[in-house]
Amino acid sequence: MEMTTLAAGLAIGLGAIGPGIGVGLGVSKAMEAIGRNPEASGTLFLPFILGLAFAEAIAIYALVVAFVLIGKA
Amino acid sequence: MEISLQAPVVFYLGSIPVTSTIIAAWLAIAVLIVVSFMATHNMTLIPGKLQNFIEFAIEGLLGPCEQFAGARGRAFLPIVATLFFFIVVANWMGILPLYADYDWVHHVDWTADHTGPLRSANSDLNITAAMAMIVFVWVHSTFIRVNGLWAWIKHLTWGPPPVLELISEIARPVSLALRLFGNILAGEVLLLVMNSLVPYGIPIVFMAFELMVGIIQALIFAMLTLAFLAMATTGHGEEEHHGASH
Repeated sequence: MEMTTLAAGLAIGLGAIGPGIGVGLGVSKAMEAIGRNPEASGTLFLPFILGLAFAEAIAIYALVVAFVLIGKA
Repeated sequence: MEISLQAPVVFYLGSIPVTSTIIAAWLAIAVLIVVSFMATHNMTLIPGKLQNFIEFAIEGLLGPCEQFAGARGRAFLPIVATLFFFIVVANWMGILPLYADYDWVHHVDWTADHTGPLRSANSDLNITAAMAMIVFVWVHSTFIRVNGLWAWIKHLTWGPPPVLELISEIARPVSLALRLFGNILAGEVLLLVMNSLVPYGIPIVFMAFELMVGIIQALIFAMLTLAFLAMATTGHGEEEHHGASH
């Protein structure tokens, strides 16, 4: 049982690393773009949110796996 | 704390189990029907407050539709807007005090006063998966209608390894369903944990955060649907759309 709990913690902990880096890169580039061209913030918003959704989805998979593991414990 | 991903069955309709999330979904639908009836039953050229708000929301969605899909955008508005409004209303109603059916923690004392009869509709994988399947069928039937059956078969078997496009097409509804489900379930668990850590004051901040997550997830679901539809209707093969799948 302890091992399953550990597995759940590791699943979300390790699973969040990649998406964290990805979201950070995305936001940094978007901020850079808005800083250079503030008028573009309106057109940037939707593609930006969609891009973040793809990165974030990976973390959500890890979270679902963690929930399933916790449910088994 | 034990978490079950399955929503609890409230009662049986014949042999069909009716879960708390199904009731929550129908409540959201009822709210949408009542509000849209109130907004449209006597429309005026100079809109009243409610009609003005609904027009603002519809026009806000029509903008991206035409931006992504050009002249076809207007035809995509019904499905995109329906999904957006249902998801956002269901998510926001999930914050209400009644929606606290934390069956997975019934045996933990500190949640006894947080439980209610309902549970946020999109915290049930069945509902989000159903919507993702609707989008899947809709996108592919639109593809066939616009480009023809032969183009569809060619599209699915495109690429050096012929199954690549097929896998990406199957991964789309899976990720669409899991993204919404995971976000909303995580929000529910977050609120629950915050309620248990600091019962007063602090959870309000996280509820506000969940309101934001609710509308952003609705926007993402609707915009991805729109993007898939736009990809399905523009000619395929030579453009950039192969890179931007799942």
